[in-house]
Amino acid sequence: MKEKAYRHGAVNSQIEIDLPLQIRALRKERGWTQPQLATQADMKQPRISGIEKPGATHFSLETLRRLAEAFDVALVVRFAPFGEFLEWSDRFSPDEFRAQSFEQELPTLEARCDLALGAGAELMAQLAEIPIGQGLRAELLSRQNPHRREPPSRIPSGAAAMALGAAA
Amino acid sequence: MYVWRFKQFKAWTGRKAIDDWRRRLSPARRAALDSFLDRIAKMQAWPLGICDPIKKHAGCWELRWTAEKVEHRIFGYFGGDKEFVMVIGCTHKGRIYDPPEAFDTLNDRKDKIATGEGELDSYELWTTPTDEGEGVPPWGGQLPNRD
Repeated sequence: MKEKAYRHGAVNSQIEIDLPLQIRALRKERGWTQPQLATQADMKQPRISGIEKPGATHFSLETLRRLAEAFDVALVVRFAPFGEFLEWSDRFSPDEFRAQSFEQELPTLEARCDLALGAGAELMAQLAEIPIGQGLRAELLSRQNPHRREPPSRIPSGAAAMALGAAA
Repeated sequence: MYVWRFKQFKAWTGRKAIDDWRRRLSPARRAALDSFLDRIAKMQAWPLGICDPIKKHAGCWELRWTAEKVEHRIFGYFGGDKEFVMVIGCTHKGRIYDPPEAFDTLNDRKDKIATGEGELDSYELWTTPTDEGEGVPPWGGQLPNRD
């Protein structure tokens, strides 16, 4: 890895070897044939065949975006340190690669949203119980809900921030 | 984690076919080889397009990937349970193979394995490379001496 050409070759392999294996895994997970994926992605079947062969295709972001839309999954493209890259690379297994479509993921996403809303409501209730001045309470509550209309705070915002940290 | 093991042809001189070939590849192609073998070693089954039978060479298969727009091949055959014997590595462009005598070498080495003139040696996958040309063997064994 100390050899720059090798480590960037490894980065390239993650794009050119891992992506075809990911695409094939996602297609299989959904029970689609190559022509079915081609239809979903508005591509021709031979192109899908090429895309699934390691190294055979140079992916453009547009191609990846279309495939992500076809599978209805997110596409994450970002720069990362090599440590993170190697960790991902070690964990990656073509057979175990999964990415739920948005529809499949929706119950989980909704549950997460409910959980966050519940936690927010609980915090609000706790704040209402804290014996603090009217101004500070208004400040804290307005931070929880910026749309809430309360009288403006009479205490410095720095102190309010400290109190918020303590309350959390 | 790994489903497959790889073996490679080893001549009576001690030369190992795939180790030698790997060493001669450019760093980028070496990285692609390492990634490719690492990935397929984790798969239960290899789909066509990644592993294809070689025409006119019954029982022989080729592992296929492309790196730097050049098609790479490893010719070999299935050994024991979840074991693939790698006999020769080559590149392929159009109808030109490098080395050109790749298919003859495949036959020759297979014969040598059969007659005991050549033998099989384990091929250690290069995973989590931590240094130039150095990796951690997945089988938990000692790192082979790769000069």
